[in-house]
Amino acid sequence: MMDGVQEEALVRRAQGGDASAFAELARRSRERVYGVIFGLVRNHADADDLAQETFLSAYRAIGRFRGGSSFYTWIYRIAVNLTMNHLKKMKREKGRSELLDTTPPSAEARAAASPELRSQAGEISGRIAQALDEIPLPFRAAFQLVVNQGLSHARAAEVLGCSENTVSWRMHKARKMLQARLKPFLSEVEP
Amino acid sequence: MRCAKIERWISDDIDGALAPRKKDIVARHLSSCPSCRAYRVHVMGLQAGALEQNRAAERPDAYWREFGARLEERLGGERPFLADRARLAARRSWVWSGAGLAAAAALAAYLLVLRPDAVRPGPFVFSFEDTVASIMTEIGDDPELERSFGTALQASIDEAVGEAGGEAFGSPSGDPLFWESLSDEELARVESGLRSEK
Repeated sequence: MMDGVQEEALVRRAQGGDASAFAELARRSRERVYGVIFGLVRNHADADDLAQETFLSAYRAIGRFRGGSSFYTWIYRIAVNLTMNHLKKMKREKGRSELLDTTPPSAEARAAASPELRSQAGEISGRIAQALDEIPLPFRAAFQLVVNQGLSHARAAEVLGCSENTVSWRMHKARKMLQARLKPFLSEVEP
Repeated sequence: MRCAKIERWISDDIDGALAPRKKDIVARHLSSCPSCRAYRVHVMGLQAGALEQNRAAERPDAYWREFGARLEERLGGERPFLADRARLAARRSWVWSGAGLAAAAALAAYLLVLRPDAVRPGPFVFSFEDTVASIMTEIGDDPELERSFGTALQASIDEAVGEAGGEAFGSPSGDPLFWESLSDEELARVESGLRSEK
Protein backbone atom coordinates (compact mmCIF):
# COMPACT_ATOMS: atom_id res chain seq x y z
CA MET A 1 0.00 0.00 0.00
CA MET A 2 2.83 2.39 0.86
CA ASP A 3 5.50 0.55 -1.11
CA GLY A 4 6.03 3.42 -3.54
CA VAL A 5 6.19 6.16 -0.94
CA GLN A 6 9.63 7.67 -0.48
CA GLU A 7 11.38 7.41 2.88
CA GLU A 8 11.44 11.19 3.32
CA ALA A 9 7.70 11.48 2.80
CA LEU A 10 7.05 8.70 5.30
CA VAL A 11 9.29 10.40 7.85
CA ARG A 12 7.41 13.70 7.39
CA ARG A 13 4.08 11.96 7.80
CA ALA A 14 5.27 10.10 10.89
CA GLN A 15 6.53 13.40 12.33
CA GLY A 16 3.03 14.76 11.85
CA GLY A 17 1.55 11.94 13.95
CA ASP A 18 0.78 9.31 11.26
CA ALA A 19 1.48 6.02 13.07
CA SER A 20 0.87 3.95 9.91
CA ALA A 21 3.66 5.86 8.13
CA PHE A 22 5.98 5.02 10.98
CA ALA A 23 4.85 1.38 10.89
CA GLU A 24 5.81 1.31 7.20
CA LEU A 25 9.26 2.72 7.99
CA ALA A 26 9.61 0.03 10.65
CA ARG A 27 8.51 -2.67 8.21
CA ARG A 28 11.18 -1.59 5.73
CA SER A 29 14.00 -1.53 8.25
CA ARG A 30 13.07 -4.19 10.81
CA GLU A 31 15.15 -7.05 9.37
CA ARG A 32 18.29 -4.97 9.18
CA VAL A 33 17.72 -3.54 12.65
CA TYR A 34 17.05 -7.01 14.02
CA GLY A 35 20.17 -8.33 12.26
CA VAL A 36 22.51 -5.83 13.83
CA ILE A 37 20.98 -6.36 17.29
CA PHE A 38 21.12 -10.14 16.96
CA GLY A 39 24.74 -9.93 15.83
CA LEU A 40 25.55 -8.29 19.16
CA VAL A 41 23.34 -10.20 21.61
CA ARG A 42 23.20 -13.58 19.78
CA ASN A 43 19.88 -14.70 21.12
CA HIS A 44 16.47 -14.21 19.57
CA ALA A 45 14.56 -13.38 22.76
CA ASP A 46 16.77 -10.39 23.58
CA ALA A 47 16.99 -9.36 19.92
CA ASP A 48 13.19 -9.33 19.70
CA ASP A 49 12.79 -7.20 22.84
CA LEU A 50 15.51 -4.77 21.78
CA ALA A 51 14.18 -4.45 18.23
CA GLN A 52 10.70 -3.61 19.55
CA GLU A 53 12.19 -1.14 22.00
CA THR A 54 14.27 0.42 19.23
CA PHE A 55 11.18 1.18 17.15
CA LEU A 56 9.20 2.43 20.13
CA SER A 57 12.06 4.75 21.14
CA ALA A 58 12.34 6.00 17.58
CA TYR A 59 8.58 6.63 17.39
CA ARG A 60 8.63 8.59 20.65
CA ALA A 61 11.49 10.75 19.34
CA ILE A 62 10.49 10.99 15.66
CA GLY A 63 9.81 14.74 16.00
CA ARG A 64 13.45 15.28 16.87
CA PHE A 65 14.75 13.52 13.74
CA ARG A 66 16.05 16.35 11.57
CA GLY A 67 17.07 14.39 8.50
CA GLY A 68 20.79 15.14 8.83
CA SER A 69 21.37 11.45 8.12
CA SER A 70 19.12 8.82 6.55
CA PHE A 71 16.32 7.34 8.62
CA TYR A 72 18.16 3.98 8.54
CA THR A 73 21.34 5.49 9.98
CA TRP A 74 19.28 7.14 12.71
CA ILE A 75 17.42 3.95 13.61
CA TYR A 76 20.66 1.93 13.50
CA ARG A 77 22.14 4.38 15.98
CA ILE A 78 19.22 3.92 18.35
CA ALA A 79 19.45 0.13 17.98
CA VAL A 80 23.20 0.01 18.60
CA ASN A 81 22.99 2.35 21.59
CA LEU A 82 20.13 0.41 23.18
CA THR A 83 21.89 -2.90 22.58
CA MET A 84 25.22 -1.72 23.91
CA ASN A 85 23.55 -0.31 27.02
CA HIS A 86 21.71 -3.61 27.45
CA LEU A 87 24.93 -5.61 27.16
CA LYS A 88 26.76 -3.33 29.59
CA LYS A 89 23.89 -3.65 32.06
CA MET A 90 23.87 -7.45 31.69
CA LYS A 91 27.61 -7.56 32.20
CA ARG A 92 27.34 -5.42 35.31
CA GLU A 93 24.47 -7.41 36.78
CA LYS A 94 25.52 -10.95 36.11
CA GLY A 95 29.17 -10.90 35.14
CA ARG A 96 30.43 -12.12 31.83
CA SER A 97 31.03 -15.77 32.72
CA GLU A 98 27.67 -16.21 34.40
CA LEU A 99 25.96 -14.63 31.41
CA LEU A 100 27.57 -17.13 29.07
CA ASP A 101 26.71 -20.02 31.37
CA THR A 102 23.04 -19.15 31.80
CA THR A 103 22.21 -18.05 28.26
CA PRO A 104 24.04 -19.94 25.54
CA PRO A 105 23.66 -17.45 22.68
CA SER A 106 26.53 -18.74 20.64
CA ALA A 107 25.13 -22.27 20.71
CA GLU A 108 21.91 -21.01 19.16
CA ALA A 109 23.79 -19.03 16.57
CA ARG A 110 26.01 -21.96 15.76
CA ALA A 111 23.10 -24.35 15.52
CA ALA A 112 21.32 -22.05 13.12
CA ALA A 113 24.35 -21.21 11.08
CA SER A 114 26.50 -24.24 10.63
CA PRO A 115 24.87 -27.66 10.23
CA GLU A 116 23.88 -27.44 6.60
CA LEU A 117 26.78 -25.36 5.52
CA ARG A 118 29.32 -27.21 3.52
CA SER A 119 31.85 -24.48 2.94
CA GLN A 120 34.93 -24.20 5.11
CA ALA A 121 33.88 -20.66 6.03
CA GLY A 122 30.61 -22.05 7.33
CA GLU A 123 32.42 -24.59 9.47
CA ILE A 124 34.25 -21.91 11.40
CA SER A 125 31.23 -19.60 11.63
CA GLY A 126 30.34 -20.83 15.12
CA ARG A 127 33.89 -20.35 16.28
CA ILE A 128 33.84 -16.82 14.88
CA ALA A 129 30.63 -16.11 16.81
CA GLN A 130 32.28 -17.29 20.00
CA ALA A 131 35.45 -15.30 19.31
CA LEU A 132 33.38 -12.19 18.54
CA ASP A 133 31.74 -12.49 21.95
CA GLU A 134 35.18 -12.23 23.51
CA ILE A 135 36.34 -9.00 21.87
CA PRO A 136 35.47 -5.59 23.37
CA LEU A 137 32.03 -4.22 22.54
CA PRO A 138 33.07 -1.15 20.47
CA PHE A 139 35.14 -3.40 18.17
CA ARG A 140 32.33 -5.95 17.94
CA ALA A 141 29.80 -3.25 17.06
CA ALA A 142 32.01 -1.86 14.29
CA PHE A 143 32.59 -5.38 12.94
CA GLN A 144 28.86 -6.13 12.93
CA LEU A 145 27.95 -2.93 11.12
CA VAL A 146 30.68 -3.12 8.48
CA VAL A 147 30.91 -6.87 7.83
CA ASN A 148 27.45 -8.18 8.59
CA GLN A 149 25.40 -5.13 7.65
CA GLY A 150 27.65 -3.99 4.83
CA LEU A 151 27.89 -0.39 6.01
CA SER A 152 30.73 1.79 4.75
CA HIS A 153 33.19 3.14 7.28
CA ALA A 154 31.52 6.55 6.91
CA ARG A 155 28.03 5.29 7.73
CA ALA A 156 29.28 3.07 10.54
CA ALA A 157 31.02 6.14 11.95
CA GLU A 158 27.71 8.04 11.89
CA VAL A 159 25.95 5.19 13.69
CA LEU A 160 28.67 4.77 16.31
CA GLY A 161 29.22 8.51 16.77
CA CYS A 162 32.94 8.39 15.99
CA SER A 163 35.27 9.23 13.10
CA GLU A 164 35.85 7.11 9.99
CA ASN A 165 39.44 6.69 11.08
CA THR A 166 38.24 5.23 14.38
CA VAL A 167 36.04 2.75 12.52
CA SER A 168 38.99 1.79 10.30
CA TRP A 169 41.14 1.27 13.38
CA ARG A 170 38.48 -0.76 15.20
CA MET A 171 37.97 -2.97 12.14
CA HIS A 172 41.69 -3.60 11.87
CA LYS A 173 42.00 -4.38 15.59
CA ALA A 174 38.86 -6.57 15.56
CA ARG A 175 40.33 -8.60 12.69
CA LYS A 176 43.67 -8.89 14.49
CA MET A 177 41.94 -10.06 17.69
CA LEU A 178 39.77 -12.55 15.84
CA GLN A 179 42.69 -13.81 13.80
CA ALA A 180 44.77 -14.34 16.95
CA ARG A 181 41.94 -16.37 18.52
CA LEU A 182 41.11 -18.38 15.40
CA LYS A 183 44.51 -18.85 13.80
CA PRO A 184 44.53 -22.67 14.00
CA PHE A 185 41.16 -22.87 12.23
CA LEU A 186 41.81 -20.09 9.74
CA SER A 187 44.97 -21.82 8.54
CA GLU A 188 42.76 -24.45 6.94
CA VAL A 189 40.56 -21.93 5.14
CA GLU A 190 41.17 -21.01 1.55
CA PRO A 191 40.12 -17.52 0.44
CA MET B 1 56.86 -0.69 3.93
CA ARG B 2 56.15 -2.09 7.40
CA CYS B 3 53.89 -5.13 7.58
CA ALA B 4 51.84 -3.57 10.42
CA LYS B 5 50.77 -0.73 8.14
CA ILE B 6 50.03 -3.14 5.29
CA GLU B 7 47.80 -5.22 7.62
CA ARG B 8 45.77 -2.10 8.42
CA TRP B 9 45.47 -1.33 4.72
CA ILE B 10 44.42 -4.93 4.01
CA SER B 11 41.58 -4.42 6.48
CA ASP B 12 40.55 -1.14 4.80
CA ASP B 13 40.79 -2.82 1.38
CA ILE B 14 38.41 -5.63 2.39
CA ASP B 15 35.92 -2.96 3.56
CA GLY B 16 36.26 -1.05 0.28
CA ALA B 17 37.81 1.92 2.06
CA LEU B 18 41.31 1.92 0.59
CA ALA B 19 42.51 4.56 -1.88
CA PRO B 20 43.64 3.20 -5.30
CA ARG B 21 47.20 4.41 -4.76
CA LYS B 22 47.43 2.41 -1.53
CA LYS B 23 45.88 -0.60 -3.23
CA ASP B 24 48.86 -0.68 -5.59
CA ILE B 25 51.28 -0.48 -2.68
CA VAL B 26 49.47 -3.35 -0.93
CA ALA B 27 49.53 -5.46 -4.12
CA ARG B 28 53.27 -4.90 -4.58
CA HIS B 29 53.95 -5.70 -0.92
CA LEU B 30 51.87 -8.89 -1.01
CA SER B 31 53.80 -10.17 -4.01
CA SER B 32 56.97 -10.20 -1.93
CA CYS B 33 55.73 -10.86 1.65
CA PRO B 34 54.46 -14.39 2.49
CA SER B 35 53.52 -13.33 6.02
CA CYS B 36 51.13 -10.59 4.83
CA ARG B 37 49.76 -12.92 2.16
CA ALA B 38 48.92 -15.47 4.88
CA TYR B 39 47.34 -12.72 7.00
CA ARG B 40 45.17 -11.65 4.07
CA VAL B 41 44.03 -15.26 3.54
CA HIS B 42 43.10 -15.50 7.23
CA VAL B 43 41.07 -12.29 7.37
CA MET B 44 39.30 -13.13 4.12
CA GLY B 45 38.33 -16.44 5.74
CA LEU B 46 37.07 -14.53 8.76
CA GLN B 47 35.03 -12.32 6.48
CA ALA B 48 33.35 -15.27 4.78
CA GLY B 49 32.71 -17.03 8.09
CA ALA B 50 31.26 -13.90 9.67
CA LEU B 51 28.88 -13.41 6.75
CA GLU B 52 27.57 -16.92 7.24
CA GLN B 53 26.37 -15.80 10.66
CA ASN B 54 23.79 -13.55 9.04
CA ARG B 55 21.76 -16.70 8.43
CA ALA B 56 21.43 -17.14 12.18
CA ALA B 57 19.58 -13.81 12.36
CA GLU B 58 17.03 -14.83 9.71
CA ARG B 59 13.44 -15.27 10.90
CA PRO B 60 10.46 -16.80 9.13
CA ASP B 61 7.74 -14.62 7.55
CA ALA B 62 5.28 -15.60 10.29
CA TYR B 63 7.60 -14.10 12.87
CA TRP B 64 7.75 -10.78 11.01
CA ARG B 65 3.96 -10.63 10.68
CA GLU B 66 3.62 -11.15 14.42
CA PHE B 67 6.45 -8.68 15.10
CA GLY B 68 4.73 -6.01 13.00
CA ALA B 69 1.32 -6.59 14.59
CA ARG B 70 2.79 -6.42 18.08
CA LEU B 71 4.69 -3.24 17.25
CA GLU B 72 1.64 -1.50 15.76
CA GLU B 73 -0.37 -2.37 18.86
CA ARG B 74 2.32 -0.87 21.08
CA LEU B 75 2.62 2.22 18.87
CA GLY B 76 -1.07 2.86 19.45
CA GLY B 77 -0.41 3.33 23.14
CA GLU B 78 2.46 5.72 22.58
CA ARG B 79 2.38 9.49 22.35
CA PRO B 80 5.14 10.48 19.94
CA PHE B 81 7.14 13.66 20.26
CA LEU B 82 5.85 15.20 17.05
CA ALA B 83 7.59 17.68 14.82
CA ASP B 84 5.35 20.62 15.79
CA ARG B 85 5.94 19.90 19.49
CA ALA B 86 9.67 19.63 18.77
CA ARG B 87 9.58 23.03 17.06
CA LEU B 88 7.58 24.48 19.97
CA ALA B 89 10.07 23.03 22.46
CA ALA B 90 12.93 24.51 20.43
CA ARG B 91 11.17 27.92 20.43
CA ARG B 92 10.60 27.67 24.16
CA SER B 93 14.23 26.85 24.73
CA TRP B 94 15.16 29.97 22.72
CA VAL B 95 12.76 32.06 24.80
CA TRP B 96 14.23 30.74 28.04
CA SER B 97 17.76 31.24 26.73
CA GLY B 98 16.87 34.84 25.84
CA ALA B 99 15.35 35.44 29.26
CA GLY B 100 18.47 34.04 30.90
CA LEU B 101 20.74 36.26 28.82
CA ALA B 102 18.62 39.35 29.60
CA ALA B 103 18.76 38.59 33.33
CA ALA B 104 22.55 38.14 33.18
CA ALA B 105 22.92 41.43 31.27
CA ALA B 106 20.75 43.29 33.81
CA LEU B 107 22.80 41.93 36.72
CA ALA B 108 26.06 42.89 35.00
CA ALA B 109 24.73 46.42 34.33
CA TYR B 110 23.68 46.79 37.98
CA LEU B 111 27.07 45.66 39.27
CA LEU B 112 29.15 47.72 36.87
CA VAL B 113 27.12 50.93 36.29
CA LEU B 114 24.08 51.36 38.48
CA ARG B 115 25.49 50.08 41.75
CA PRO B 116 24.94 52.59 44.64
CA ASP B 117 27.95 54.66 45.67
CA ALA B 118 27.91 53.07 49.11
CA VAL B 119 29.07 49.77 47.69
CA ARG B 120 31.22 51.17 44.89
CA PRO B 121 34.93 51.27 45.83
CA GLY B 122 36.50 54.77 45.92
CA PRO B 123 39.92 55.63 44.55
CA PHE B 124 42.78 53.87 46.32
CA VAL B 125 44.73 56.06 48.76
CA PHE B 126 47.72 54.60 50.55
CA SER B 127 47.64 54.94 54.32
CA PHE B 128 50.45 53.72 56.52
CA GLU B 129 48.13 53.44 59.51
CA ASP B 130 45.55 51.41 57.59
CA THR B 131 48.24 49.16 56.22
CA VAL B 132 49.69 48.48 59.67
CA ALA B 133 46.19 48.05 61.11
CA SER B 134 45.34 45.44 58.48
CA ILE B 135 48.62 43.65 59.16
CA MET B 136 47.94 43.68 62.91
CA THR B 137 44.43 42.36 62.30
CA GLU B 138 45.95 39.60 60.23
CA ILE B 139 48.47 38.80 62.96
CA GLY B 140 45.79 38.75 65.64
CA ASP B 141 46.90 36.66 68.65
CA ASP B 142 49.39 34.59 66.72
CA PRO B 143 52.78 35.12 68.45
CA GLU B 144 54.68 33.42 65.66
CA LEU B 145 53.25 35.76 63.04
CA GLU B 146 53.92 38.72 65.29
CA ARG B 147 57.55 37.63 65.70
CA SER B 148 57.94 37.13 61.95
CA PHE B 149 56.45 40.52 61.22
CA GLY B 150 58.70 42.19 63.83
CA THR B 151 61.79 40.47 62.37
CA ALA B 152 60.84 41.52 58.83
CA LEU B 153 60.14 45.08 59.94
CA GLN B 154 63.43 45.30 61.80
CA ALA B 155 65.32 43.92 58.79
CA SER B 156 63.62 46.49 56.60
CA ILE B 157 64.57 49.32 58.99
CA ASP B 158 68.15 48.06 59.22
CA GLU B 159 68.37 47.94 55.45
CA ALA B 160 67.03 51.49 55.11
CA VAL B 161 69.42 52.77 57.79
CA GLY B 162 72.31 51.01 56.10
CA GLU B 163 71.50 52.64 52.75
CA ALA B 164 71.30 56.09 54.37
CA GLY B 165 74.68 55.65 56.06
CA GLY B 166 73.07 55.77 59.49
CA GLU B 167 73.05 59.58 59.52
CA ALA B 168 69.44 60.42 58.89
CA PHE B 169 68.18 58.01 61.52
CA GLY B 170 71.14 58.27 63.86
CA SER B 171 69.85 61.29 65.70
CA PRO B 172 66.25 62.22 65.17
CA SER B 173 66.70 65.15 67.48
CA GLY B 174 68.79 66.83 64.80
CA ASP B 175 65.77 66.92 62.51
CA PRO B 176 63.62 70.03 63.22
CA LEU B 177 60.62 68.29 61.75
CA PHE B 178 60.97 65.62 64.43
CA TRP B 179 60.35 68.17 67.20
CA GLU B 180 57.62 69.86 65.20
CA SER B 181 55.68 66.62 64.96
CA LEU B 182 55.59 65.99 68.72
CA SER B 183 52.53 66.91 70.73
CA ASP B 184 52.70 69.03 73.91
CA GLU B 185 52.23 65.96 76.01
CA GLU B 186 55.10 64.15 74.27
CA LEU B 187 57.32 67.21 74.61
CA ALA B 188 56.51 67.32 78.33
CA ARG B 189 57.48 63.69 78.67
CA VAL B 190 60.79 64.27 76.86
CA GLU B 191 61.48 67.24 79.08
CA SER B 192 60.80 65.30 82.28
CA GLY B 193 63.02 62.49 81.01
CA LEU B 194 65.88 64.86 80.37
CA ARG B 195 65.46 66.38 83.82
CA SER B 196 65.57 62.98 85.50
CA GLU B 197 68.78 62.05 83.58
CA LYS B 198 70.41 65.15 85.02
